[in-house]
Amino acid sequence: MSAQDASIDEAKFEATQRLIRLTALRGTPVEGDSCANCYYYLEPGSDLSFCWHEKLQTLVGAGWWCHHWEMTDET
Amino acid sequence: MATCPFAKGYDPLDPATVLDPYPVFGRLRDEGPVFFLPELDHYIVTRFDDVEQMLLDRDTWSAANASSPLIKVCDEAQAVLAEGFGRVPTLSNADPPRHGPMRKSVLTVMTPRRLNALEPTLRAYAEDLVRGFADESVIDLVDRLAFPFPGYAAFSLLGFPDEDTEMLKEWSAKRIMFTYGRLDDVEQVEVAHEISAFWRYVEAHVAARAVTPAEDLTSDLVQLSRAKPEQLNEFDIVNMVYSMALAGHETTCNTIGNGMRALLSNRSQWRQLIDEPATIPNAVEEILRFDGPVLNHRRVARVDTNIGGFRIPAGSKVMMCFASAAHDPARFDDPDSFDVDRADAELHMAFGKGSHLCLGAPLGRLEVRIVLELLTTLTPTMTLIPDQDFDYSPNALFRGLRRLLVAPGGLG
Repeated sequence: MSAQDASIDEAKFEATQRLIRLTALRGTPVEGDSCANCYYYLEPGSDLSFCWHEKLQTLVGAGWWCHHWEMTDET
Repeated sequence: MATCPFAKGYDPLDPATVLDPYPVFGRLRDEGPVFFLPELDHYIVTRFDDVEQMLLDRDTWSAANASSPLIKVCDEAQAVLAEGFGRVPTLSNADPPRHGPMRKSVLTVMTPRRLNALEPTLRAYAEDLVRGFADESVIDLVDRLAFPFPGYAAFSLLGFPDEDTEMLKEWSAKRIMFTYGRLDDVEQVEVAHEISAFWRYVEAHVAARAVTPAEDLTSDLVQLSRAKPEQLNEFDIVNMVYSMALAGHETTCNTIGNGMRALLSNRSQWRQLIDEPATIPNAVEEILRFDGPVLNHRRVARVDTNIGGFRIPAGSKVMMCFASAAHDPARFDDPDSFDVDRADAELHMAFGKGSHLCLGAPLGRLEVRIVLELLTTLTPTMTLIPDQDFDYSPNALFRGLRRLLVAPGGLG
């Protein structure tokens, strides 16, 4: 299938929108805090990793942020 | 740009509105996105999308007025507060750069790990309360459970002694009326003295913990301030503990009372929780949506802006109606129905959203879940006393019953 043949999975799109809305997820840090220094970011030091907060449980970027941000034990 | 219309026939402190605000919210939502209320000098925003946007936009909206008195404080009451009441913006009413370090300080000491460790103690305390009234014919559920349980959770977490609970409860109620209610000048002066006493109590408590630490949140904050003095000092701790001494219990008490009224008024929903206890977590979210503990919260515009095409000048005070947003049909199907199976119940904003998301949300949810688990197990035939008068605290921020009469074992 070529890129032009791919269609949008509407259900996944809506689930993504819902996640963003539910967690106030954003693609930029807030006041110096981001997934990179969050307790729930599984692999500190990676640009991308898994967020294991119960409301997310998904791939996130180090520079992202959501309102469930919580400091790491080392902070 | 259009000038904002006035909010005709809306007074958040009118007794009929205090009793049931949802009809007037529905009318306002239908008529437009924003209104101006000259009597309170506030704009009113009622629709979900607009409230959500305000919560997420800190560049436009400051939280500085979130805990300011709604009604002008008379000079004499101000003079009382000027003598030693040192409250400054700290958590819910703080903006960057102060807000971040204060919030992180609380996150340091109030972690999910601490909450998990606390659960058995909370559950045992609540179970004692429920077993204490399970065999009585009629009780006031607010007096016997909705207040004492969250009160115990919050006050013991902060390290306040049990014998001070009634006094703290009285002070809390008066603080709410002073800030969000409509007191006359004489009442304001009287309550200003009580608020000052509350403040001095917290100051003394923090000072005592600085000398003799204990196993509580206040002592942990003192330890943190010694480890990170650039982040937190003793004055900050007094402000934070003073904030949490109210926020830590009032809203959960309201959620339990409002939620039990909703469940016992919708018997099939109550029976579902008994038959399918796995529904309880979602029921907690639906309670928060359907009749949550916070009616309104406030912001002030940092810059000229607009809501729904209506100009809002810089410096304008705005009331975001959380309770109205939760009943917005643009966001929730059949919003005035109470449905413990509602799939999107958790999209409510009862705990706010964004950087000011309520720090107590996990604890609040845990407490309400414990209450529902215990009552569905130990008092499944609990019934509302029919034809009772429902009495809500007359203030513009918190929505909570002052009494809820129930028959723990059912009627007849």
